[in-house]
Amino acid sequence: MTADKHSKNLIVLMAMMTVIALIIAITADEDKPLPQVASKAQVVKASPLMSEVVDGIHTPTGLIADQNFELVVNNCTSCHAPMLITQNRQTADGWKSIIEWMQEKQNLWDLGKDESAIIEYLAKNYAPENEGRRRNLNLKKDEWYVLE
Amino acid sequence: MKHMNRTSALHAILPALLFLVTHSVIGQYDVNQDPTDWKNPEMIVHNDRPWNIETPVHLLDDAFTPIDKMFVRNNGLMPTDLNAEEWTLTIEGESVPTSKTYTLAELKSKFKHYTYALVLECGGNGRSEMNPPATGNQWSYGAVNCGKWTGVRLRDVLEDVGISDDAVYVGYYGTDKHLSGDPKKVVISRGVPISKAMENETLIAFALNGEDIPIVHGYPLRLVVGGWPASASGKWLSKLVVRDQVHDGPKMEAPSYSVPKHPVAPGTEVPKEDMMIIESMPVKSVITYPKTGAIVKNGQEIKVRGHAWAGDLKVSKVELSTDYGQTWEKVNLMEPINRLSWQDFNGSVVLKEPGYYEIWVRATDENGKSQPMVVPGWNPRGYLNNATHRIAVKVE
Repeated sequence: MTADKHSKNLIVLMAMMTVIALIIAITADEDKPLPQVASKAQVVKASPLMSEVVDGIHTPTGLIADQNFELVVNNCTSCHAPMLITQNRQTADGWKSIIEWMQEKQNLWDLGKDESAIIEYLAKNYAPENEGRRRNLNLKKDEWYVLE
Repeated sequence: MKHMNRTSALHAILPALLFLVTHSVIGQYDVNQDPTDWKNPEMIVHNDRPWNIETPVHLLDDAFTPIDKMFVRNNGLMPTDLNAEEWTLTIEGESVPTSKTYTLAELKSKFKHYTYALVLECGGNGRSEMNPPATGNQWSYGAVNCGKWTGVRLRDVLEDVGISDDAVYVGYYGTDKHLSGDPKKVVISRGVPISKAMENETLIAFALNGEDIPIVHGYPLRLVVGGWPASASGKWLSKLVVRDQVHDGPKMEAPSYSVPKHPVAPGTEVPKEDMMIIESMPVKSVITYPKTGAIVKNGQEIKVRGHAWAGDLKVSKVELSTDYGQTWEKVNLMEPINRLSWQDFNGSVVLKEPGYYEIWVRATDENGKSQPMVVPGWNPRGYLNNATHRIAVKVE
């Protein structure tokens, strides 16, 4: 075994120690509720996520804080960034087929009875806009500059 | 008491944390480092898990793209266990009678080095213009670059390994991690037909623009295939498979990196069997100077420049229009520095009436194919939009 292998093992050992110590550190403080691990977990009615909503946007994720956005936070953003949602526009059928693709190819779990609520949220808040074969360039005021 | 426990636990892990932080640095780029820490601040982040970062077109003005202005398209999470000294590349597969493994040092010492400027463009560059919208990262025009890659020819390595006559395809495997955290799941494993693999410019690269490849771009080893969707250029390359059939790794299968075999109306659902794998990218061009939004004086000469490329082909002509494509003016077009490099163009435009204008650019490839002025061939995943690039200009 080489010295490199030893230091690699040391790193692995230390990483494990770190994880264990972190778990101890977190669980030692009983006053603080365990962090909500984004998973299949059901969202409770008085969602703690609501406290992070500013001007209708859930600030940590950038998602529109419409009804059932918590389901999207919990089910979608544990694997990928919320930006993959907020930059896309799809109909209900389109969002459904994306979910099916993620289940088939990317290890997304069965969304059960939450699926329809998730699709409804996405189709309402991230719907296609009607555009022609090419958009106008639509520059914002501050994008104009004087070219010498 | 509870708080005592917590504090002492934190004290216990601090040395371990420090050790991990100081030992996770590889080369000049940290594995866990946010690439936006060193990418140009104007870069557009479409996604940060996985990283997908676009270059605003005016930042592509350099003859060859500096690393801090290169777009990033990752499919999974970057590997964290990279060690160039221990890195190996294994070549195996149905068409490899005796599989072979090389260390990175062996690859570097055994085979001749070549450097080529190669265009890498995401297959989905331009996707944001698709209507109805296509799913995925909503790239505008800037998921493209042309960097100088240094490495050994894939052909030389395959000849050293010895492959059989029935070889059809070469597929890659890297060491990136799946977003779901499933360690057994391969993130992406694409490739190219053997004919493309055997081209002079197809490299197993270990350097980019004269330095180690940054982690986010594939350190320490990357398959680099110019002119084809950049997803064919596998990062963190650890294994190549020479197949006796079309490679079937994740994201080889339709609809990924595939388009309909026959044109379809926008929004059509296309069965997998009616899709085909994208090969060479289409002809395209961008105006990198001036940046869109220029305000000029009446009659002022506006110098216009940029790059044009055409997948496997050469660009034969570049034209500009200031009247929405009613008339076109040919501009100077440079020769490529090598095959599969982009080609610079430059010209100038004088606008003689006040008002709002758009400058459009259109390139034509050596087979006479040019760029459409509207978004071409809608396809389910929004690939291959090579519509003319446009910038807005105002004359006062």
